[in-house]
Amino acid sequence: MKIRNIIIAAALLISAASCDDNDAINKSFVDVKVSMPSHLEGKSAELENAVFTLENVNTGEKLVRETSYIPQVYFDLEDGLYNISVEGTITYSNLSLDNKSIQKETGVRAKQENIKVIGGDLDLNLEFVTFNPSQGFLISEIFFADTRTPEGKQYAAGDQYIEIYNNSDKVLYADGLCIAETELMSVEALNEYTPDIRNEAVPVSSVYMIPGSGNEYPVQPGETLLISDIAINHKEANKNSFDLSKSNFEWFDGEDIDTDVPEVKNMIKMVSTSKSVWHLHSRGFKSYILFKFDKEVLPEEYVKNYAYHYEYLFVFNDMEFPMDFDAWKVPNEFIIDAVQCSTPSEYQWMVMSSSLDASYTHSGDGDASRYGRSVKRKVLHVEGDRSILQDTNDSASDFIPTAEPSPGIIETLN
Amino acid sequence: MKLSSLILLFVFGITMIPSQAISQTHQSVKGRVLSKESGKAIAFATVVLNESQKWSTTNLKGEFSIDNVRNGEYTIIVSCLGYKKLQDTISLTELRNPFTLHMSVESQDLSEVTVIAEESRENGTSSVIKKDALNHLQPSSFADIVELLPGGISSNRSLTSMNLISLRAPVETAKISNRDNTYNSSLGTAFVVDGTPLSNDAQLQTVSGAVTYTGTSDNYLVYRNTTGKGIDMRMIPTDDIESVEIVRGIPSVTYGSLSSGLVNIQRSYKKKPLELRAKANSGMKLFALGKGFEFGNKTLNVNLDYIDYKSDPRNVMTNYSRMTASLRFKDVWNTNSGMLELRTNLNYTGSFDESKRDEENDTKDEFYKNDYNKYRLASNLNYYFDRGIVKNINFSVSGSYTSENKKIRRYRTGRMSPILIEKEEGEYYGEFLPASYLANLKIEGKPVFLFAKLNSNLDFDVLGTNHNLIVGADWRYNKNFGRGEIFDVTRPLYAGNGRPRPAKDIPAMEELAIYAEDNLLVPIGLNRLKIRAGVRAASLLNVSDKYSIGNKFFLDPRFNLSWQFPSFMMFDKLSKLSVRTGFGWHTKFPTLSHLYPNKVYYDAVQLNFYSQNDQLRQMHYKTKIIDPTNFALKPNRNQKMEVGLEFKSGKIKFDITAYKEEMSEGLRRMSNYDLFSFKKYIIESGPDPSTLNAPPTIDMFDYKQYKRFVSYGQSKNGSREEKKGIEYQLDLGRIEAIKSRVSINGAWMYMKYGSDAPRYKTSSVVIGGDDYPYMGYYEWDTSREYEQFNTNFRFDTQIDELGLIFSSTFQVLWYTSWKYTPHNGMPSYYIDMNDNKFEYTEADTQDPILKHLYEKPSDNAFDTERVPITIDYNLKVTKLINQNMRLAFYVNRILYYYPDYNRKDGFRVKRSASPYFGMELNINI
Repeated sequence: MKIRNIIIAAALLISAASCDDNDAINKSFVDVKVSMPSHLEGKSAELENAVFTLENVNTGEKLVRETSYIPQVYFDLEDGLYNISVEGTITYSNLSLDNKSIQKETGVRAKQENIKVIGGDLDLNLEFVTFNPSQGFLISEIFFADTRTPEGKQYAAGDQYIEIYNNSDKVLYADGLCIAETELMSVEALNEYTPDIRNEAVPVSSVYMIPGSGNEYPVQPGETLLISDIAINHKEANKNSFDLSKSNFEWFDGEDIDTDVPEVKNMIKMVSTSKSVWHLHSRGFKSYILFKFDKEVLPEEYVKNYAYHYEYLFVFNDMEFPMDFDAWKVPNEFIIDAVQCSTPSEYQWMVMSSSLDASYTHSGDGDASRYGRSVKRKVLHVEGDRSILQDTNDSASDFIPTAEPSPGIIETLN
Repeated sequence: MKLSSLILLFVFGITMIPSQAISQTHQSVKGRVLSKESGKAIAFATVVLNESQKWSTTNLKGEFSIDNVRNGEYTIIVSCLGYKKLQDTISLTELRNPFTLHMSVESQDLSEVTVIAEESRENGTSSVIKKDALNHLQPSSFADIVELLPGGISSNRSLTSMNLISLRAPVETAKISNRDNTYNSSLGTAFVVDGTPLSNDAQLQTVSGAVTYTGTSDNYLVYRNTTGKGIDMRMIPTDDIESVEIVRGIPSVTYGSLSSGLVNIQRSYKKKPLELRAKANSGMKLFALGKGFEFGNKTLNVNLDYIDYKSDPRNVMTNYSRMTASLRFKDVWNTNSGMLELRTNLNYTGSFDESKRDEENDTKDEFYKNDYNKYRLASNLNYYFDRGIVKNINFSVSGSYTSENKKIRRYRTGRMSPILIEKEEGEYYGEFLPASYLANLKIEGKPVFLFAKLNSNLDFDVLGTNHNLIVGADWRYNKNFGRGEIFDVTRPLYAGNGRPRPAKDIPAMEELAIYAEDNLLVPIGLNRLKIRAGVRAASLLNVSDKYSIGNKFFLDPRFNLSWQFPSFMMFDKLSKLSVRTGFGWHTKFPTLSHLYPNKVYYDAVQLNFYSQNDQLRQMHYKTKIIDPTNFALKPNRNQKMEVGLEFKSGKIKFDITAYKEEMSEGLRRMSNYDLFSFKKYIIESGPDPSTLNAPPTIDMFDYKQYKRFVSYGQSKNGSREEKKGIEYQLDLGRIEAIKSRVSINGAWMYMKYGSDAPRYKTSSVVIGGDDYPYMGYYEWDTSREYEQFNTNFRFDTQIDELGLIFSSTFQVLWYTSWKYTPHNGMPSYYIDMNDNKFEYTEADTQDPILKHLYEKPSDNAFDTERVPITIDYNLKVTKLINQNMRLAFYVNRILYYYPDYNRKDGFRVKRSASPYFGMELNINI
């Protein structure tokens, strides 16, 4: 691969050098250095291919050149004002917590505008930033840790939320998007866990779906979808909480046990192993996935067609009990985004395939320091007024742990 | 009932055994009982002519007279509390002068001390623990005494949870943490103090809404709630006890309101020096003081004690303290025809549980407090006739009043859930709880227990056979005058609870019983057949006609028979052998909590409209009421059968008893279900909140009709409890060569505990926002079988020269085991929301919906779980510093053997134990 690249680069150079030099127009030798994205440092990032576009602002002339020779590319340019951009694909590998190396591919780009190329040599340093060519919805923030009241009590009165973000440049529809909580906990590795389906699907305990026929709930590029437990201004009851009254959806578990805010639409409750209100695991032991079925699925059909029965051996001190449970599963190919959560001191195993998420994020250490803190995706860069969030399927690097919650708001810079 | 009639017939048949020999030579046996030390007369000594079954009691002058005794050889036995039992052989051939018998005061002489529970057959199979043994044991509470019984195993008891008695039950069955525990053993064990019983049947301190089983965050409530569970032994002080008889077998019919056993406590009514006791072990401090005064014929005894216990000495958040006081008075008067004795006692028990939690989430405002103040007054009037058929008439009354206050304060997350408070069925508008709040709950209990008993002993001959007939009646009254749960119903401790019921609204429970029992002795050659046969008829009064239990008599025939072979010589020792058998029924009525459960309120919220604008919020709900009262409830009835053998040779005593007990319809909380239909108003169909200026009404919405299963608990006679076992005790007496008294006791016990009554259960799985659509009906037997085999070897070594007693106990628990009755985990059928029944088949266990009703047993679920041997060595050293002062130091598990073992599934179990220290100081002034 590398040798081939060098040959191509050499060929390009030769062809550049063989240009006729008799013109009166002055040329400069531009040396463009592009470095790998800093957040992929140590991940053996390699360029697969890159397309350089050098646009002469004065003439509108464009030089497009494909190369995969990095870090340095040389151009012989007519003097002028240039916009230089490069887009490409790089591969890198995530080393997952279970010591697997997962090959990943991502789009990268780098851009610099209004560069004066004049008189001789110019050294230009660019840094690639990643973007996913197949961008779409992402989980941008999860607030599971609960707040505390000014008296110091756990509030736990419905101020948990999950924020979904349109990371693309297109309008996307939220209709049929599902969120689910994993059945397995990252802090409890199961003995003799069988059948272990994690390479094909994620075992889940509760699933909620956004209603809609397909184009009822548009989400603009760079906009969020806020899904909360109880969509009210919680600051009225607890000044340490948030105003969730602008939520787009609520998850609702029944008139008797839950609170229904009429101003905000409810999600469809597909299934749950528990009769009680869905309270995200407050210490972060459970993980969350965002997915969409390949076709319309009714709750009754989901229960039947995606049932999952598993067994394991419960070991506590001297005792051992065979256990078996019923849950459901979500095939990996349906999954749009997945965020593993845990606590640094109690993490034991991966609750899903490392291709979905290579690591985990956390709020505090699941202890008192978690209260009032969320996990929040990093902003990679800003395109215009739209933030691009980082998504390398590696939550330890993509997320800010123990973050300051900001329901419904994506910062433009971290 | 047929069986009991047969037994009655049999009993009266025996009584009527004709005997021609009515007029042999008869005479009166007269005498005086004096104290050897002081020469003073001893009153109230019991004088028994063993072979004739005739007896009398000495009067104030120490005189006694037993009339109408046939000539012959007799063993005369004189016993009196505080004196050594006197036994002598007398020969009645011709008219004799009055005897003078000298009794010596029960000595503090070490070599005479009996430090074990002695097996007794006077009142059914029982163990008797006397003051000496108690002095040696130094119990903190009554629970420590129970460990002396065959099968008893000493353990470190926590005083922050209730201590309940469970006779003839393997340790594993009686644990509070055992969810199979129905507490029928503890509920069915009667505690009688100085002739009048204690009662906990009006206890109603349950916190509504709290989880009722252990292993949850409500443990602090579960471990202390004795409602419907019998007497908490933590409340019974031990320092005033003179003697305790713990009847495991078939007690006399004079004792009732019991199904499992009897604890009969006699306290001291006599002059005593000032006794001070201090005991300390990890977490616990005990101080006790007692004195007995004498003024002529009158005596007055005072006892005070105080216990302070902290479950973890480093954690002051959870503690228990108890204070008891008792004042006991006795007076006697001689009259022309006999003697009158009055015993009156006034008692106070205060106990205080307190816990504060210290977790990160809790603030200092939260607490749990339980104050218990009990006052008890009892009087016993006993008239002894000098002559005549009627030997004595006894009238006892007692009354107790308890004031219990449980106070709980906790932060609660209300989560804006509905407030449900309406107490009638119907549909209502309601309000929402705040997001979080501080909940306060007080439970006020004022149980009152009254008791009266009239008892008479008659002694007469019919056709040459001596009869000792006991007839009597007793009456019990239980009522709770407390206000029950008191709280702001709009801020409940457990959301959804808003319908407290005052305890005082529950009617009183009255129990009346009459009984008759004949004790007779039939000599058959040189053998002696002793028969004790009686019947007790008990009835529950003051219950409405709807209860099938009310206003009818339940008969408890009880029958003990022993056959004593002629004495013989073995290795130059006078030896005696007797065999015995017994059979009896025992009835314990359900308590107030079983008979009068609170109504169950089911609510369905039909409209949940929690607008972001607080002026527009609306809630509407429907209430359904289920009365879980089980009008068909029957009492706990326990049938006991036993055979035993007793052998004595010189100082050596051996006793073995095999028993079988069966309670086929024990009390148990069982599940039941009902269907509830209601509406759900569809929010989307209603007005846009922004168009409203007042809360919406239900007519603005479309609705859908729904149905739901509701299940509730009900007290039923669904528990099947079977006990079998062999109890043994070998007392080798003092072996001079090793200066030790050696005794061995233990038991093999089997208990089957469970229910084969059907149960209803649904799944908690939620499908598409709807409740699980089926209710399973399960019929398999949930019983669990337990076994336990133990032997305690006890050596009490006395080194008089050094004033030391070493008590060594090797507690060997040979094994314990348990096993579930196999079942297939499937319901027999399932019920849909239209109440249709469908058979549940093997294939349904794979069905995505129906599989949730399948409780698949794991591969080794029905294996016998067998825990092999453990040995504990406990040592106690007592030093007599001088005549008045004793110091003791003890270490339980100073050595132990807890070998690792492999379980059936190949898993290796490692076990460990930790020693437990304590110290005691006794001073007599």
